[in-house]
Amino acid sequence: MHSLATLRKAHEVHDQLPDQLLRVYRFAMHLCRDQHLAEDLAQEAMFRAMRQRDSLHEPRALQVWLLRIVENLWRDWCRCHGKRGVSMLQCDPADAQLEPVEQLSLSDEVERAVAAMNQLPERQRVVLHLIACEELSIAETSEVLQITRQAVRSSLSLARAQMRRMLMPPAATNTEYSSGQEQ
Amino acid sequence: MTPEDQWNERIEGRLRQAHEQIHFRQEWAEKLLHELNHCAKPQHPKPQISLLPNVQNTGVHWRIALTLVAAMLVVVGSGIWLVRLDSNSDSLAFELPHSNDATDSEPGVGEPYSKQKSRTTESRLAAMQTVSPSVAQQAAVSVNRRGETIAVKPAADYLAARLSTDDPEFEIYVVLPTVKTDLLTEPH
Repeated sequence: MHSLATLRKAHEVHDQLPDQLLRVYRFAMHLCRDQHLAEDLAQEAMFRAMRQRDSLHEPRALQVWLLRIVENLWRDWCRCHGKRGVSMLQCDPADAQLEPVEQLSLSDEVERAVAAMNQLPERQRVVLHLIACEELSIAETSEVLQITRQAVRSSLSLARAQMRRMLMPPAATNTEYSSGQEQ
Repeated sequence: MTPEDQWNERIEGRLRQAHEQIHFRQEWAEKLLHELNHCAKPQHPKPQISLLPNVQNTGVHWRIALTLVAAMLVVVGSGIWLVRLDSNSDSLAFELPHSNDATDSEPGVGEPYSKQKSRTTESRLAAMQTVSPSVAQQAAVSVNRRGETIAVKPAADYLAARLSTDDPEFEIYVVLPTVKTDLLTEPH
């Protein structure tokens, strides 16, 4: 027998689910880089959330909960198919040193930033995505990925360092590196 | 905010811009949301059409269903067994002891009579006395020994002779070529 509070929460989750669809789809797209697979992942995540909406104790945590479902579904998919996601931009690993963003237009700068992010190891890439694009906190990211907060901080720090290495002008990087060494 | 933080913020802003350019197919989204709304509707209890009693406890329900299935299997198994038994009934019948039946039954025309069946033979012959003399005259008695006919006598003479022998190898055949078998039935 459902209590009134449980029914109210389930109703609240149901009302919020459509608003989360775009976020869920984008995260799925970020993970798998395939439109059809992202649709499948997002759809399954939404249906799972709908079926298990009674188990969500705090409707405000719906976003984190949904992203975690997507992440789990993606892991299951990779496990079943024995492979990882492919890079959408198909960047050549040899092209790791990208053109500095200072010399680019806005659209090119966006494109280069995405390309640089796609060069990152998967854990760092997903952490950076959740922090930068989904605007989650360290705690929320650790909950989505089911890793410790320290691991999130570490991955985020490494990701940012890699991004700087790939996108900052060499002079700036050298300056930063030498100033860091002097310290 | 350090220059490094500013740079991080700038790049992550670009990433966010790229991220916000991702859009799903409207048709897919509408269909999905429609399905989600359909799933979210409260399910009205469907009218239950069942031969089973209306038991609220699902476990009991299952137990009743399993019992019925088990009973059906027993019935079907018994049916198969009975059919098999019926198909083999001839052989089984031959295996049954039937000495009493053989002794008591009336032999037909041409059936052998051994000495051990003399009582029956006697009764048959006695029965023949009840038929009209003209019919009895047409009957004959074949006396065989070891499968070989040693004498064929008119029934009337046979009756008169009152065949008696202790030799178990004698077989007596009643030969009634024109007389119906009901002639040989026991008098009531």
